[in-house]
Amino acid sequence: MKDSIHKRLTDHIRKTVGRYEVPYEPGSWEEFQRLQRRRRQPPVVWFRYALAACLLLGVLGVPLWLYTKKSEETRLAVHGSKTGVSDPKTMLPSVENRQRTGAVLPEPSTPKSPEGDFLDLDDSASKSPSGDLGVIGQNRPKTANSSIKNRFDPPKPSFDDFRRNDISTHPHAESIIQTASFALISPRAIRFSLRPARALSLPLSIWQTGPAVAKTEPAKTGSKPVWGVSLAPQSVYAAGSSPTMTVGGGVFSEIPIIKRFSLSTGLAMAQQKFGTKESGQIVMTTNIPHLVSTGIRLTSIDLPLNIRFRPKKMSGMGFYAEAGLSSIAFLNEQYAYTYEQTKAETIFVMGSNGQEQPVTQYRTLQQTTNQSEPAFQKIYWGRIINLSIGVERRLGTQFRLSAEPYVKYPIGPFTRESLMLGSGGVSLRLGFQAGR
Amino acid sequence: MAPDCTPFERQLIEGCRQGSPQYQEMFYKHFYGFTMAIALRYHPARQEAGSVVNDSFMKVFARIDRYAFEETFKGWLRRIVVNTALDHYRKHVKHTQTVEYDQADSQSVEVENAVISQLTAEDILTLLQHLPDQYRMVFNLYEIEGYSHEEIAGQLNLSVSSSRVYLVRAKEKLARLVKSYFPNHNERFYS
Repeated sequence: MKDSIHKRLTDHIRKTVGRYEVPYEPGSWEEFQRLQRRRRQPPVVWFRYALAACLLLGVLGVPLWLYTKKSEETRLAVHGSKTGVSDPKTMLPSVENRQRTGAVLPEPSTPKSPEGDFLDLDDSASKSPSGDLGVIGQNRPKTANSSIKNRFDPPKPSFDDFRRNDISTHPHAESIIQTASFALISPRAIRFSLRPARALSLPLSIWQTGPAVAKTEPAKTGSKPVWGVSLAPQSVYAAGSSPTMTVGGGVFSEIPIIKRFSLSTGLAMAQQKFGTKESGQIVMTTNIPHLVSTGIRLTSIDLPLNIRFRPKKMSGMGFYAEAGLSSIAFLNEQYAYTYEQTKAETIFVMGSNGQEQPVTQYRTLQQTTNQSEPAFQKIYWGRIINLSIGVERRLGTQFRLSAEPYVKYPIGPFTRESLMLGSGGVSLRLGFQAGR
Repeated sequence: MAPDCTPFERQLIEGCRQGSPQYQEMFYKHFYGFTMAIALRYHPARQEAGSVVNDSFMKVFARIDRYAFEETFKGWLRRIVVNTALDHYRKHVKHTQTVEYDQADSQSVEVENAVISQLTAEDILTLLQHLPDQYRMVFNLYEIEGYSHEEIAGQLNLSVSSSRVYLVRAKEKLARLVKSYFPNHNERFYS
């Protein structure tokens, strides 16, 4: 009995489900296409990443290389020989050190004759370790005296001095002359009693044409970060759609890294709305719905990470260039899929003979399905390459206004529909720099 | 030509062999219902079944060159879908509960013949949905696909005796489910 029931049930199941077919669900083919794209994606994405990395390296590397080269040239100019004859041992550590030490130099202990000073300088310097500020400070007045003497009454060094100060063997021979620029004044006109406890440390330029000193010109950004807000009218485009206009905005910050380079980051939000149309559809013989268009509405959160470079030549104009990558996530992803279906209907019309005749009529039906993705479903890291140039103007001491035309080029697909979504526009920024 | 292929289906197959996306789309839409019905028997959750269907079509498009029109095309397609469904099952088998033999009730259930004959495909899918995964797999493979217990044991990593027991339990459970879901067919069909 039990087996009989099981057999009947099993036979019925086999017969029924064997010929059963589920009606086609609109959107299944599109889902399959998405899956296909995802599986084909990896090599393409890595190729694009590699291309983007090379581009970024080029964009950032070339200005860096040019800048480094220029800095080296400037340094050579500083050390360029004027007249100086000195011993490298007397060379002070750096311009900055000299400036610093010059302000707190102690009083020279015993006045000596210029010749003696000149000769003693070598001896004392040779005995003192380089970089010891105290020792340098003690030697400094002697150097100054000797330099002044050198300018108006050139000393006649002995053969031994020349032997020791052989210019050809000392590439940094100018350095002692350089120190004269910051040498201390030994005020002879001031009575001893009126001398200040500390020596005056005014820089004294004794050259008609001042030596090319490498000034540490601060970058436009300064040493403190800039914070601000931005507003960006932009045009959004995706493959298969026409560009649409929208406005984005957000906050940004610029963090100085080195002299002319800074890290620019922030958080920008934009609502993008556009549609894609399916092309190349062939007429289906069956009445299966097919996708004709997709309406897309996205609220994107963009997290850029850019390197900003300010060329020295154009620093006066406030010009800068920026390149980097953006990561993107979506606060809202809404899709409206429109499917079209041709249905054949048989209707009866009155024929010429006065009798009803069946006629097949085709009717096109449209069906729209709305779908949305949850917020922050996925974060697409480094999926967009950013390129921009900008001009900045100061507003007072703390505010700065900049206009920055930019292009965001996708290097890989993102969104549920695997869109290659790019944008271009002008970012208007108002920045604030505290305590400048 | 394959005995079950219509000229239109043959045209679709030829188009897919050439890699034409339009023909692939038509092929997908044409055979979607057939493949989905098979997938739903193994994985009643719609999303999982959809995933089986899509994976199956991936395989079909990649291997359609190997189809030689010697066997029925639907049979070839069915084999791919069943194997894909088994792959999915094996992938998720760690999360499935092992059914204890003593959980099943061996009491005999009487079901009216009229009730059985009135069961639709949707009803059967609903009933299959209530079977434990292993019961459902064994039932489908043995009763519908025609696999032997040895083959099922190999496919599902079971012993042959387990396969036999699962089949008996599956049938008993189905009968009970029919009884509990449709106690009186008159109520269902004539009310």
